Amino acid sequence: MTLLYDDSFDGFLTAVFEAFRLHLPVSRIVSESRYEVSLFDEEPHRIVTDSSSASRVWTGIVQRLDNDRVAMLYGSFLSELTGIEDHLWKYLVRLFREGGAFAANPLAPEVLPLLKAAEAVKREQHRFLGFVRFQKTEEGLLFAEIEPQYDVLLILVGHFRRRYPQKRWAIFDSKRGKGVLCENGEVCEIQIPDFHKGYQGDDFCDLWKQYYNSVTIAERKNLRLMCRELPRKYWAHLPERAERCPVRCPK
Amino acid sequence: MQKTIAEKLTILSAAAKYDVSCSSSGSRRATPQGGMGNGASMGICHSFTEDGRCISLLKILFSNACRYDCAYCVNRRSNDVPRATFEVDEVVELTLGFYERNYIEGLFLSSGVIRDPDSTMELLVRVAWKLRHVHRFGGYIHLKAIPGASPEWLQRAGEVADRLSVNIEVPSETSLKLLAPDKNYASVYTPMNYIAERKLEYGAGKPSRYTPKFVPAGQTTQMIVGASGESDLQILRLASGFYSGQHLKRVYYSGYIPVNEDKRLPVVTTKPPLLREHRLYQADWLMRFYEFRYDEIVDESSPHLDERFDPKLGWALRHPEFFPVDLNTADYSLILRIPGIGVRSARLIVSGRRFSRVGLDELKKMGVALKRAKYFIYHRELPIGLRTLYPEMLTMRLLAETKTPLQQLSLFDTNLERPAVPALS
Repeated sequence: MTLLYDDSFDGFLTAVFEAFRLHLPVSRIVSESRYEVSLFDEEPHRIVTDSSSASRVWTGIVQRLDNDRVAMLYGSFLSELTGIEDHLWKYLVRLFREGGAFAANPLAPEVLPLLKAAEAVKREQHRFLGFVRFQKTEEGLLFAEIEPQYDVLLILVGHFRRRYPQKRWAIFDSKRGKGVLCENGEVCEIQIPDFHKGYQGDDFCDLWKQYYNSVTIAERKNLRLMCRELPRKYWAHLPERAERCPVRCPK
Repeated sequence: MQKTIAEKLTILSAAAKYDVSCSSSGSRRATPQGGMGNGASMGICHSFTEDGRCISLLKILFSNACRYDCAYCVNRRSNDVPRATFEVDEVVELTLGFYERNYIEGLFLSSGVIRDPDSTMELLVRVAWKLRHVHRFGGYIHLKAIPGASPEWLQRAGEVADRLSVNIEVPSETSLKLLAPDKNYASVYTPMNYIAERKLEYGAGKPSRYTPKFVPAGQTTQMIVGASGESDLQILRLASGFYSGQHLKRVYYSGYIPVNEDKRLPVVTTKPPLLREHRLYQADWLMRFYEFRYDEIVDESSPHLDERFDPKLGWALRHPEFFPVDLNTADYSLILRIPGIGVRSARLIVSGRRFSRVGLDELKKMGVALKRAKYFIYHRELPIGLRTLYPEMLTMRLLAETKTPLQQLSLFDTNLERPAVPALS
């Protein structure tokens, strides 16, 4: 049986809740946006997200796992990889059947795929701590646009909230069409940004580009290394690289 | 004529770029009340320049009007280069403007020696003090301790900075005297020892969260490689001494880029010794994360690192008595010594083998690189011929596997020639 949930984490947890409650023979759990109808599939069942059911599953998970593993679980969900929900489902079935002891084994077939996905998400999250670029609007709002490969927006918020407690800032994920706005330490989600797109640039942006160019050591030029550390997919929203998009990365 | 802030930034960042220290790690400073900025203990890279180096901090000199005349330095007195000096407020404004846009993790401020070490140190401290106490800035601040600065200024610098560094620059005192007549080893070691001792003092007893911080991210230093004739053994012995004696967090190695025409130095057309620098960093990693001692990596009989292999593989080839290693029973520290297996893989193996035997399939699934490791581990699925190879045969085989010596050295696009090393006693 295929279960469909809206793209949220709560939706996924509700699907897990319903599967346990009704003893459903789950074969797949897929998010609606990634579901592709195929000829031989039976009719999928849509799950209506219910936050109280989701929080019951979440409480169950938190009771059985330590913080690192809970973070690993959530991180792997954010990877949005095809089939990651099925791995999560297998993991949760085992977790609720026999408790969290198996989770310490990185080689267990339920654990390894999640571990790898979570590592990739964590890596990108860490990268974006550095690659988010705010531009300052006239009203003093710091606004950044990002297009991450994985859905790391929500796990970036804590870092910037701690770092800029006095500022008004917003980060918008234009690939997924959602964003967050933080004012006086209060965070809220925003859907459509009423800001200008692309870098307007202020004085500091120009100074930054100048700085970027002048610290390069020409004798050590190594584009291949740079492209590995700073992949091209991120360049569009980095003012110091945005104008160099024609530069090709050597293989 | 007064220069604009943009002109100064261009001149003084270009003048600072040969200092290779870039890390912003080690500080957990919390955001001050009513201020902005904190320390991220893992360090964050904000961008990468076209030479592949990371930009983490706004790395600038306060002034490049230096009165010293060190042969290797682009800012030496006898060079005809544009000179500039910042105002304190300009540096503060730049730092805060860059920081709130998330361009940087903080400030790395160094300077040429303007009048004397103390008055220069004072300027650096004033910038950092203003950031910390007037603007309540909690971001990372790395200050250069000017060789020869007095303890009073080092003390004040340590109270406002996250990291201090004194650069030793030349790895032996005779070369230092020749290349930098205004400096000596005492002027480098005195501040370094002072900082190390004060840091111990502040951390002694039971520090609470109200204990004032003194250089929470520790101190570092830098050595220029290839400007004088020291061997890798000398360099690594010195570095190892810094790690154990002065508790340095990092030693940076900077492959000398010929910036000056000088008969004491390699000629200007010399290519920077990037491969040698790379090998030194690998050796440094072995000392810091892989529990190697410096004399296991190089010794008197072979004082230079082998440029064909990374130093860990070199050690394994010299020590066939440790291999093959059985991954299911060996100690963590021995697994760490297998070429091709890093800290991440070793940890996975050690935690995984408590549940099941670690076979080739598991290794592949974990993403352990077997390309080199397969010659050094015992496993029943591996052909027996692999682990009975003599080091001599293995060397040939490994060399043949890397088609050109450059292939595995993806870090650097350069040729492998050593620079002409001048004969120094």
